[in-house]
Amino acid sequence: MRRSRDDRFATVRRLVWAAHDVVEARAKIVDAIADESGLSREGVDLALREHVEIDATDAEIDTLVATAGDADCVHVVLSANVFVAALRAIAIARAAAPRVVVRLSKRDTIFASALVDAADDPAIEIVDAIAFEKIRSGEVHVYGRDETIASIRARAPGLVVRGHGSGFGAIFATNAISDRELSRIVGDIIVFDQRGCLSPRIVAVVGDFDLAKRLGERLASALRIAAESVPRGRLTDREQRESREYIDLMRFGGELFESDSAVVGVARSDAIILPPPGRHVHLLHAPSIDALRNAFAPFSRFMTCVATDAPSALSLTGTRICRFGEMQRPRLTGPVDLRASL
Amino acid sequence: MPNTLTDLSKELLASDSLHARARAFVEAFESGSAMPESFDALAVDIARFQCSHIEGYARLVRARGLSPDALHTAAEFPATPADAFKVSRVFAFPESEATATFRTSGTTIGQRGEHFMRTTATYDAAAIAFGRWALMHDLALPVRMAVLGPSPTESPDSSLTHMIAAFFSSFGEPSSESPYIIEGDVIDLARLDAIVATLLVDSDRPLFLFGTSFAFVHLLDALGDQPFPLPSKSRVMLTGGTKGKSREVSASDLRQSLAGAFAIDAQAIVSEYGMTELSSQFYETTLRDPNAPHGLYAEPPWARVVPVDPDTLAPVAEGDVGIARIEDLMNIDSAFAVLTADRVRRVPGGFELLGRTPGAAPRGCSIAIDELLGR
Repeated sequence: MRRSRDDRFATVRRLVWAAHDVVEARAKIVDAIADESGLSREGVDLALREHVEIDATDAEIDTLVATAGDADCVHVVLSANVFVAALRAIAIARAAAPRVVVRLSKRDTIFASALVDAADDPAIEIVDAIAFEKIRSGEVHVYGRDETIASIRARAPGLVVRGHGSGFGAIFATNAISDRELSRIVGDIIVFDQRGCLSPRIVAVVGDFDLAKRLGERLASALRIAAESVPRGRLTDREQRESREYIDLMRFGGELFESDSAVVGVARSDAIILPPPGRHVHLLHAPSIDALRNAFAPFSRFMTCVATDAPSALSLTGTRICRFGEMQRPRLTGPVDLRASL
Repeated sequence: MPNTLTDLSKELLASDSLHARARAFVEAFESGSAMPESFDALAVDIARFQCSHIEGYARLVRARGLSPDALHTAAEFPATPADAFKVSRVFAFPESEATATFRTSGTTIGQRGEHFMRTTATYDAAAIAFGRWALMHDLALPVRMAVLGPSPTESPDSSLTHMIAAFFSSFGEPSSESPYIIEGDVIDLARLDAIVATLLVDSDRPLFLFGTSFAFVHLLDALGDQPFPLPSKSRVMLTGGTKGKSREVSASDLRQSLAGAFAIDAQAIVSEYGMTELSSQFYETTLRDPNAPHGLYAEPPWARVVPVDPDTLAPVAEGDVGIARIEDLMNIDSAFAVLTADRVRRVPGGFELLGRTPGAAPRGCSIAIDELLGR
């Protein structure tokens, strides 16, 4: 039996209200999420205050419902790092199906559990594991690494598996960046300590090395100031190692601006280097927007989001294009990853 | 960078002198003599030369708070990250002086690393000397060679192609037929068959077959279940892995499949380990010691592979696994020490190659550089 639009809408709206309640009562979960995620307490608070889509409009929810599809059951596999993403993932699943089964990431359990508890929707069930081989109908929505998606797809032949894989964000600046714009860019960088697929890890500017270097210095300074109110959380061992590798690489081949809380490397060449998450930014330059577009073309399938001051000059198929400061604030209209499902 | 012609002349003279000292290592190795000086003595002079003439390396040394004149062993100098060849100029001479440029594989997306060379003479001398030791020592030379790969004309920026061409010049039997049996992407099985047939008819002389691991996978695919026996005493040198290719095959499985298809002993199939960023190569030793295990690589006396802790970059304890810091005295004009992402372990007789540093720990949807670059 097909569900009505109103039923779907109501279940999503109920989730958004639940998210609102969780955010309002966030003091109860901030410390636990900080422990679990490695983010600082202030970083968790920032994410909850400003990056949960509790202000979703009816029109936005309508759009989400209209594009969610239709299934008798959706199994959702959530990924780690961007803990607030549980709202969107579960909302899309619930819009699509009268029954939703959610497997949490072991490293991000608290927000999603609190959300499902607050929603008090008997159609949503959290489980420890999913036997994909035994699922006979419905869809599987997988958020995570490409390998995880491929592995689940192999275990669930014949099922519709919608995979949202790994990616990164970038910033393209064609004009001088004002202090206000810089502040917005910093906001995109610091939330979730850059561990999301929307997080910008590369900033590309149209201009020469000296221009890039000046921007790098300003960006590093702005990141240092931002860390006074929202400190960087702890880096994993691997992130620390990759940070050291990136710093050595940029000492050799670029200009480095580093502090206790962030690293900005300014490249002398247009080589695209992806620094580790944890507030590391690789800044490169090119003589024109066309040159930038060409330099990034081989990476386009990995680029989830680009913030730019020249959106009309970009045509990156499948990449979400937005303004500075909006990378981590996608409206609740559907999946944030517009790339073809893996 | 030199400011005047005199500066340039001095720089080139200094480089020439270091090349001469490096080639003296190779000559001593070939003649069975003692090395003309200690590894560290030459390494330190090369490192100081590179500090003076490669800005990026000088910055790296300064950032460590080091003064080149105060350092007296190779280990005290930092290694150049292999990725530096992708983002920066890693050469100690004006670009106009370059006579060859080798580029890293184009199979990964993104920037290719570039290794500029002012001269390939030292590279060639070292490659030929150690290639002879590891691969040819018991063969009557010249030997008939075939290459599962492009010719230097087709692939002028491949260091592997250059090295095999140098082998062909030194060890190969001249023939009216080209030894390169891949054109474009197509393996010319008929040509290989004709070469083998000629050798079998002419008193069963051996064939030396070179190629990348993945080219051999393609060859096996082309052969299907059909055996393709090579003349007795034939041998194979392969290099590189198949990870990230359309079909992944373990080194062990590939070796067994090749031994079966070619009807040769698996010990006659030798893996080479090399990098575009280096000027020296490393080989399994099964052709010299039939009891040697596969996976054990030997170094020439002018290069050493030091497993280091990936966090501290300090050498790990004997027998522990680390990432490879490769010190190469033939890399005079670029990077005498290169830091790789390959995991290695010292064992008696050489080192074991254990693959790339494992992929990033699960990161959710945040992509890891390994995934992005297919490293």
